[in-house]
Amino acid sequence: MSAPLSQLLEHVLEGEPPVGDEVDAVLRRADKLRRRRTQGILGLGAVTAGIIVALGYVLTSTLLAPRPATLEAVPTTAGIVAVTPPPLLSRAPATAPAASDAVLEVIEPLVEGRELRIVAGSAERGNGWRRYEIADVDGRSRGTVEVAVFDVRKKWCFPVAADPDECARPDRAAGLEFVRYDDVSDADRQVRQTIARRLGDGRTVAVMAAGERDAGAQRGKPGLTGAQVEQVATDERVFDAFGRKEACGKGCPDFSTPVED
Amino acid sequence: MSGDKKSVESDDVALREFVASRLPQLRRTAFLMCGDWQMAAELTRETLARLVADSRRGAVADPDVFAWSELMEACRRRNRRREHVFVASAGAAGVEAESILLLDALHKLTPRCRAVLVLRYWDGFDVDATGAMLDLADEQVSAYERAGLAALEKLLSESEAAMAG
Repeated sequence: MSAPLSQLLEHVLEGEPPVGDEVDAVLRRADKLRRRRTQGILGLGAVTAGIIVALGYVLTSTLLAPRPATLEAVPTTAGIVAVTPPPLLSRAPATAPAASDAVLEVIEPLVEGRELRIVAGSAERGNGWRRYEIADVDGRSRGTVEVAVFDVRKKWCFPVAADPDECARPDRAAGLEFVRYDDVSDADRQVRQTIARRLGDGRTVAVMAAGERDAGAQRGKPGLTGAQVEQVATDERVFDAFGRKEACGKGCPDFSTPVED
Repeated sequence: MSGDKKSVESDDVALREFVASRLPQLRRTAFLMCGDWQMAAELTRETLARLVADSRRGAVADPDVFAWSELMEACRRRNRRREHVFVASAGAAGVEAESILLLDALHKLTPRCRAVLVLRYWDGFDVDATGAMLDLADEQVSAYERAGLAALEKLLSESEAAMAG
């Protein structure tokens, strides 16, 4: 059927209109198409450039935006911004021993040397006296250390626990005289105490380390040894830690061997 | 037809010659595909303009394959419906009844069958070139050709019988 179909198709095309200037029209349209494509490419390039600029602006403004001012920036003279952290709230209670507590500075190293510690916030003080609670590494109480200063009379002498009318013979060292009054006979009430008197002005210091009462022989041991208590009592820094007019008054600790009647 | 491919890509004169030589044939092909001389002229103009523009920027490998495949695609886009009304040219003195019957039968075929028959029996392309223009495998071209011829023969027989009756 191929030959007849070709001939039939030729007959169909007999009414074909003339071509005319179709060739020029084609070339003009080609030029127009090229210009349109060029404009499209330029427009696409402009849009792309705009998108790049916009993205750059967004990224730059995002990355370089100042952070929320949680810290106060303080400009320095060198042009460098120094950051000052906000004031921290002290986690220690108001009754925590102050760093300026000269008595504590003498006692604490001795306590820690025995693998014990001063209980944070336990320090108490009054006119002429200080008190510190001691605990072991497990937090169990190991009694107290109490220090007091007394303004004794000229005729005062070192007491004897067994006889109020007798005077004890003190030991002497570096302008001081002192007597140790240790009593560890009762396991439930073990005490190490030293009373020292400065010869120059008669100021007297009493230091007592008492173990935890009724807690057994082990926990009943005082936080300081007798020698350490003596060391504290004969330390000039402890004498100087109290004001000149201080004297153990209200709230004064109850010493095992009282300094005054 | 593809012997002057390089000159078409690089030379405006050669492009004009190519357009002048292919335009009538392409317009007839378009008419057989769409049945409207005015639309055929428009589709041909559009196809050749794209060919010239793409040839100038070196984007055309085979101008004949490019031209006919573009034209067939343009016809497919313009004339999606199979139903068709034949439109004679403005200055045509008269169209024979057989031609109208043939055009009517041709446009009752599927677009693919019609395109294969036009390219093979009117433009004279071989199976390989027809497949390249329509993006079909050779076997598909042959299958569409057989189906198209059978359908066209049946349609024409029915039309002749109707006219005789």
